[in-house]
Amino acid sequence: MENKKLFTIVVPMYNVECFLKDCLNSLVNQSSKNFCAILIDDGSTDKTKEIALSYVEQYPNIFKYIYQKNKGLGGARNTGIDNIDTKYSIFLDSDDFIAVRTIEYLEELISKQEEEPDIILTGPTIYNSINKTYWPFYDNFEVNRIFANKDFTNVSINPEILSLEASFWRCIWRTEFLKANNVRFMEHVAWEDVPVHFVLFHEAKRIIKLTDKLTFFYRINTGGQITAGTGKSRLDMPIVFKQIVDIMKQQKWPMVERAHVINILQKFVKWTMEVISDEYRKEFVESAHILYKSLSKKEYKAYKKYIHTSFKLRMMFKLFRSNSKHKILADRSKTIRFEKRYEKLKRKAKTAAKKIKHLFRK
Amino acid sequence: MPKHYSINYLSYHSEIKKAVFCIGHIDTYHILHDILSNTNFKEVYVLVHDELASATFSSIGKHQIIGIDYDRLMGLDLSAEDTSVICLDLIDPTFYKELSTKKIHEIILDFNWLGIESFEIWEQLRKSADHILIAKLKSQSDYKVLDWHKSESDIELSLIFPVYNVGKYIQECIDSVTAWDAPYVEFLFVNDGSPDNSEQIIAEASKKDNRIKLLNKANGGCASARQFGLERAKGKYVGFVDPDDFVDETMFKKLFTAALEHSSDIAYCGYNEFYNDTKKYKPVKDLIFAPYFNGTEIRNQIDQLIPFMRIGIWRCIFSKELLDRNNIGFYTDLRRFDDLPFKVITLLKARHVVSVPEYLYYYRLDRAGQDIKADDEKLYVHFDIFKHLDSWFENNCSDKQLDYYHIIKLDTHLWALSKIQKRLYKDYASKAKADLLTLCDKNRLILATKTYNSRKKVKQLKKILSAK
Repeated sequence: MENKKLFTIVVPMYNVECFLKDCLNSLVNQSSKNFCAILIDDGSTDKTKEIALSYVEQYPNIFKYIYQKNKGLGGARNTGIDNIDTKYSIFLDSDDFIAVRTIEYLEELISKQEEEPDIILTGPTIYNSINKTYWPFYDNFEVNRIFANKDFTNVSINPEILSLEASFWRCIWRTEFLKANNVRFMEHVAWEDVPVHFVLFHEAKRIIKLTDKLTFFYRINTGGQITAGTGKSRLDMPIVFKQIVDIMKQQKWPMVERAHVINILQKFVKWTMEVISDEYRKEFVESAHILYKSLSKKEYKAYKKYIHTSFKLRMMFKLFRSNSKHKILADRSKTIRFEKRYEKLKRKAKTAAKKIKHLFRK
Repeated sequence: MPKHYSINYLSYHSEIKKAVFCIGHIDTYHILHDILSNTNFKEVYVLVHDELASATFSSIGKHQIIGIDYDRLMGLDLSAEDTSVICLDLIDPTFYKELSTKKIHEIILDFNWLGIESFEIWEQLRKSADHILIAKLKSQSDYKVLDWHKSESDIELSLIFPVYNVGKYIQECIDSVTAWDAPYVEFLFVNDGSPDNSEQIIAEASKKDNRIKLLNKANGGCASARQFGLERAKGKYVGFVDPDDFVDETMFKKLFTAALEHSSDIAYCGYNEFYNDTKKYKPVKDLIFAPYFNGTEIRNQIDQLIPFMRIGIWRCIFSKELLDRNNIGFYTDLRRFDDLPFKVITLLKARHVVSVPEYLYYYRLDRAGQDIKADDEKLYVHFDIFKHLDSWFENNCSDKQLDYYHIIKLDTHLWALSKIQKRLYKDYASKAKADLLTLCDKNRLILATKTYNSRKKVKQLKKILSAK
């Protein structure tokens, strides 16, 4: 069963005819050929199939094509995991691409390690397809800080590693490690990689990084993402987080780690409240309220203690937990009014503080 | 993380096999090291200034470097598909002048400061290069990128003039517009069956300037003339100028520069109201400053322009690709205000917008027969306009966009109600009420007005909503 090659790149595809060529070209032209790629067609209805098959025909020793009925990104990744037979696995989204020497540098990095790493964190680059600019990924700075003066790390050394962006595609995983933890994504759900991300980072013994080289490119502003982000897919978020909250309670994770999970939950919820459309707002708030209710007071205290948060975020936490007051958030006009009142109070408090300072100076 | 722009671009464009580096400053050599350790070229040439440098950089990583001098560079074949010329911090203008005599497939210019005029370099190279990419550092790791591909037509900017009975003013307009002597601009004068001497003036002007083209058509209104011109425009950008107005001589150069340097969908500037009787003008307050003059792709900032930017498509240029991609044109059944739907739709679909923070367009007022003076049934055209626009906003738009759309709807109807004759007031108000409630309900309308507009407007809105 063991493949001679070192990496398998899983590329889930769903209606990506305009981006797929960039992605596959970046694989074809890699400087090292020590990898194979599995293209998983998640029931596309456009030209994705034809493009993918033309590549398979041209490079049969790199690509393998699998067609399945539409199961969502999670379902496609599950199929990918079942078919991996190499030591390491990479999950590349089909609208992203990788730099020419990514595989070469990963090979080099792994050969230098004394022990096999469970996870390799990379520092992706964001590609803005509108104004054609590049940015370092949102948390690259954080990753570099965590790994300062260290060869490897894990949650017991650096619990804040759980607060990194929950993105499955930016890591390279040891296949045995994935299979030992029975990784399964939820099907037909958005944000399906969030619980898996937390569980794997919690279990990993050895996490290393590759951030000084260009590796993954993450494309933003492709169109379509914007409207998809405000609608129904947002409702999946409480479902997804419910899963991870249950797991961390069952397995009795240390409080620090729970605090970091709550931190990410708070970030996601705050972001959602800013963009969600009125149609789904009420439903989202209700399910988020139930989720927040399942968090204990102890966990809130840990969140307050370990995470540097703002007053606004802490207030949001309390509002969501409250039986009656979370209804304010369900109504956009009430929220706006509430925020205005809060701003006014804040301003008053500020001027009062100034006056007191002034008095003390006298 | 790597700081130069070109390193990101080159690291995944694996079709480039032959790279020719031209380096402007000895301090920039370390960037070459960064680039070559992230890329995989077959041949690497570096233009070196002295022998010392060529000895130091004989190889980096697994790349063998061939040091070449200026004469050998001019002898190289740069037009092959797998070849790319990369200039790092090279600001010598004479170099680009000489390079423009050669055929180049792709040229990438990477500057770590803003001071360079990328537009001038583009003008020099546009004849010889197929693909030009110029990146300038704006702030820390944020770049301003000019990304230009050669197309079949040589024309970059088409300006369209719907001409109808403007014989008195058209000469002034032609003079001000043609003052910019760029060869890649075309001026399309669409004569909408005008009975006066406008046609002769244009015909005469086109003899002196071959960029001016005269198109004749039967009378069909301003919208149909603009649409007629739009269908025949060859440029990558299009602009619409009213021939009874005039512009600052630098206006279209500045707009085009801004649009090109940001790869923008829409570029616009401010405008002045010009009073014909007194010959005085005054700038009109508008949203042309921060954050728009730096270019923005943030959805909310672009959407804000939908209600709060003053109408006037004559001070904008639009990328033809935006119009083609979304199938945007003029509604020829509208006899007036055809620029309102065009502005709203283009802003709704635009992905990047940039402004030039100057007042460069002169809008002539106090002239008989101007549209603004309408106060009778002509104002009912608004209902047709919004009927067209509703189809764009029905699905596939966010909540905020819908709110902004209703603000402009309300503003337009309130403006019409303030102008309209008393006998039509009640009828218009009841129609306006029905129109406002087609896409959203009462509460949301009030909330949107409260959030983004003044309390006074809420009162007026409630007055309309109480109409029968």
